[in-house]
Amino acid sequence: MIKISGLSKHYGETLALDKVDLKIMDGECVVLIGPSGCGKSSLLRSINRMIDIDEGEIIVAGKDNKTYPPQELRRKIGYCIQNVGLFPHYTVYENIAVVPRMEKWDETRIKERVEFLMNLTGLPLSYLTKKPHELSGGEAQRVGVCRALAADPDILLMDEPFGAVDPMTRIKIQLAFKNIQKELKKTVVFVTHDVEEAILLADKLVVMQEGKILGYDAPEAFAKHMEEDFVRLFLGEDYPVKLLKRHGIDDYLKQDGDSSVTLHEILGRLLKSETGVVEVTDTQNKIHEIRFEDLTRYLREEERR
Amino acid sequence: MKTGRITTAAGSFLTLFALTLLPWGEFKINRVARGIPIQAMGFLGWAMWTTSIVVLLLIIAVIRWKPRFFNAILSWILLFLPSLGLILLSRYIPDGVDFDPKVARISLGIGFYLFYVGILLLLSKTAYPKLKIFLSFLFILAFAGNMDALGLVREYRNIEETFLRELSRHLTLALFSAMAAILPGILLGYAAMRYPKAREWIFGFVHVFQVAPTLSLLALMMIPLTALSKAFPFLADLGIKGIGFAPAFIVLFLYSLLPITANTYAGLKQTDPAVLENAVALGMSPRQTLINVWFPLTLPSIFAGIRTAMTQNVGNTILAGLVGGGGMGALIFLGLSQSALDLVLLGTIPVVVMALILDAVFEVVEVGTVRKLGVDYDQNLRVE
Repeated sequence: MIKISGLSKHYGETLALDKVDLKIMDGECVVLIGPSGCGKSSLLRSINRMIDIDEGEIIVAGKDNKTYPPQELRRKIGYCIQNVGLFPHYTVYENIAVVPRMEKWDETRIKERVEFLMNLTGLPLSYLTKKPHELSGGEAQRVGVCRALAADPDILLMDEPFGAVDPMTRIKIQLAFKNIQKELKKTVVFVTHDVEEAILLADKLVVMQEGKILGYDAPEAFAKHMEEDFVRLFLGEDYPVKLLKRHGIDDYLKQDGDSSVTLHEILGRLLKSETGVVEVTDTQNKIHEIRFEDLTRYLREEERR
Repeated sequence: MKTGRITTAAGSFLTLFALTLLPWGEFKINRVARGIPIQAMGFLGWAMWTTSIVVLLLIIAVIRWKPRFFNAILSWILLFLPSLGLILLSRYIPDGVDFDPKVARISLGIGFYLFYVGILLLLSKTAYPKLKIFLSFLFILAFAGNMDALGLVREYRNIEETFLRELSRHLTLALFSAMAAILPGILLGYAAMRYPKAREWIFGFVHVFQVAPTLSLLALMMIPLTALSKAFPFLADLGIKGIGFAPAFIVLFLYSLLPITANTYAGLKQTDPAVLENAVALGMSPRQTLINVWFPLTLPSIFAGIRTAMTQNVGNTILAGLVGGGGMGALIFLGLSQSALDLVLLGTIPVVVMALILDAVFEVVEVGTVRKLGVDYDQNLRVE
């Protein structure tokens, strides 16, 4: 658990963080969203002490993060940023092995770990001997994720990690990351300004403005407050529609199965249907009819959960 | 291809021009006598002269219409022409002049030089230009034994031992003074990056030596060194005195600082900030960041600085001759004082060749390092 209380940070005259309180539960992916300059990156970077805070405290794994030696703290926390920043003179393998090597893991364990992570992120093992300049943007980004996860940290900090890749690659990488997170259950703090990315990945959403937290809740819960200015401003009037992307048809049918069809797509089909009904088949080959009212009802239920 | 054509045209023009109109050398009955100009026609004789012009025109025609044949075969034969020209030139005996064959000599003239430049231009656009240029020079050296009548060879024979001693001295002085500057240069560059407040002082310091004329710097160095060796006579026994090796070494050392310092600083500055941020964020200590990330990424840039320092030092070392530091400068200044131009050349040519060879060697080392690191210069600057 990460417990942040009374956190303030000034840059000269400007107040980047204004007495922020935030509690992040283990295994949750918390996405910080807000306009640029709202303090989301400062908040993220203060967790592993990449910046020093002026007031307040941050408890990481039960201890004030100031009591750790900074290098030790940072090795415990995975870190992944927009420009990836892979070491250009290291191979992919050496890049991923940086933290385990500093932690003095033996080489066989490092090798196992690296191969595990390559498989997890969908990179072929033949890439291990490549240098970063031989990788595409998306591949480099995956290696960046591997490197952040290398020493198996409990906490992962990600600052717009997929911001620099093209939209097609980005969605692939986002889905891959969602699956990884489902499997590894890390405590993730994730900064983005892309609402759809936030909706896709977040267990909890933190909306920030001018160094303050305006709202902290599950993404669905924000749809309850569409009357609030900040929700309409930062998440958009169409927020409920975007929210449908989070939910696969299997969630709706309350069964395990194919989640590749989202309710967002069902909505698309509804808009074009003559009868106002879309039919879907479940895993038992039973046919279900979905109407507008069903989606409305489903969203309302989700908001209340 | 356009520059290729211009180069070829210039090369053809120069070789033809040299062969038809320019004097290839001067015949002197002794070291300081006035020379008699020798035209290509003069030392080749009518028949051979006409033939060589026809051959040259043929070669130019081949370059124009059968470039592949020229590239593959003919260009390798072209290498021999300058040395062949020199051998024939050294055989020249003027009519109706009384001379002692042991003292008479032939000095090289503009015709030979331009002919050589022309050939190099023709070779420069073919495969392996550097190797060919080096080989053409090597052939001249190899056949020097057959060119006894040349003033250059005469001067060399006279001072063979001195020449070799000064040559090795020159190299030692140039290389060791630059090598001594490597570590301080890197440290100064790092300090300039690490402590922005000290930067102006550091660059001011290294620039002073670069801006001050080398000669005045040598003179300046003599005063404290003389005083030192007077105050502590044992220093003089170690070779630290106002003239000789010490002042030359110190001045050359100071000269080498700027390129190394400036390149180190620039290399450090250009390192991708995202890479450095990650090094810190992954938990590297400042020392680990420096050794594992910063230094290797700056290495190509540091190498470029060392390369500049070494090659520039080879030239600057000539001035060491003025303060008794030895080197090729000793020969050059001796030649100047005796108005023996061949001796001056004998001192100058090795310096030029040394600088070129050194530069080529360092280029190979540099490219090798860059390849091993897997970084290009550009990629080092910004890594996506």
